Amino acid sequence: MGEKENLVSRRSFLAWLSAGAFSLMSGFAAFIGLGFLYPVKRQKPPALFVCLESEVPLVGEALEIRDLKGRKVFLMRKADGELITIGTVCSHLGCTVFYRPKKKRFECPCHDGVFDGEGNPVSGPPSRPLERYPTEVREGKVFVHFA
Amino acid sequence: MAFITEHERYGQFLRSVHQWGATFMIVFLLLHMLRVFVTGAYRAYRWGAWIAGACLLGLTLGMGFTGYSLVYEQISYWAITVTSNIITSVPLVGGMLKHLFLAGDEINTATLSRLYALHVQILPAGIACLGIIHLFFVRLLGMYMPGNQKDRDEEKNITAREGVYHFFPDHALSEIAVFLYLVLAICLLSLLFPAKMGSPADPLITPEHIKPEWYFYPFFRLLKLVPGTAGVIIMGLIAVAFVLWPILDQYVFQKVDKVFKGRMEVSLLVGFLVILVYLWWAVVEAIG
Repeated sequence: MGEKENLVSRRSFLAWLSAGAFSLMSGFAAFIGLGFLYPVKRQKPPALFVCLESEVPLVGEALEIRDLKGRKVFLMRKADGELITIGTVCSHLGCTVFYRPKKKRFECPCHDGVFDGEGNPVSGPPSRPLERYPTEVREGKVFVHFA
Repeated sequence: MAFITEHERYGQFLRSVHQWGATFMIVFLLLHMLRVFVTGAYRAYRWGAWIAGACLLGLTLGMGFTGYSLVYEQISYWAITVTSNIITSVPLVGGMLKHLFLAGDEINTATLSRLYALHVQILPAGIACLGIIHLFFVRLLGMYMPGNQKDRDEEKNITAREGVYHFFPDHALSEIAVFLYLVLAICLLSLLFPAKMGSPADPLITPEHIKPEWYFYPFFRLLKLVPGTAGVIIMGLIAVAFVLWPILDQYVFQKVDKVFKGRMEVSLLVGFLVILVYLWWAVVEAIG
């Protein structure tokens, strides 16, 4: 009596259940599989010791150091004594900027972009500042987090 | 490249001929397009030939870009860097296109292989295909005859009087004569101003005075004048307007002409203004 009232037979219900489970699992596998198309994200590298705090020059001058890719990076002291690390890749189209200590500014040779001593755009086409790397001083040693 | 230029017998001459030939190709393409523009030969539904021709100019500039990038001098390295960052500005797919262009996130050895494949296979194949399409459209609607009905009648009278101007030998002979003069000019220029090797690519330092090849000067100037990625977007819009010029002409400029009751040629005014700005920016960068 009870079996006659059921709209779905036990056999077809099991078939639907297994098809549903198969779809769910294959969808899950495809979701993970698609992730393999993209490169694995590297873990954030630890902060790098670059120099002693006493080696950082006075305000207005810059200490040239290298990032993990060997590119030029400038370590500078702000007027309030805070240390900042500024990248030299122009935020406009990727050329390398020069630091002009006399003018206390960065200049890009490609499209005439100019940044102030803290890497903020002043004139020319760049609209974003130069990249800044988090810098910290621990027991008189300077560490930079290169992302 | 250094081996071909500095060690191989006649290598420098061969490379110079290649370089001067490329320069001549761009000069003659620009002159050809100027002639087509001034005579209005893209009108009367000759859109197909213009659009294929404009794309051919783009591919030829691509050949120029990949050509001087493959030398792997400082100008090459920084041109690839700037171009890859321009590509990144493309909405939505910019990052993916940059990855495809560089074969990685930054310039590497595979980038050169990719540019080489573009320079010797993909772009030449594109030029061959578009060249055929270009000629097909020219043949489909026939050569454009400048002037009015009176000029065309005059042309017919000359043909009736002096006979048909045959492809062979008339046209072929004049083509051979022009070809020989061009070969001579390219050889002379190659001997007088041979191609040399510049400073090798240095990913750490951009030279203080860097410029692209002369045919990119106006775009280089535009990127200096317009802030942020707006310059890149404007460049894209200019390229689209250039390719679709005949359609713009028919549906916009000629409509404006009608307002002035046919006493104006707005397309000529707009075109000459663009050419003047193009030349002005090119000169500013050349002497700057």
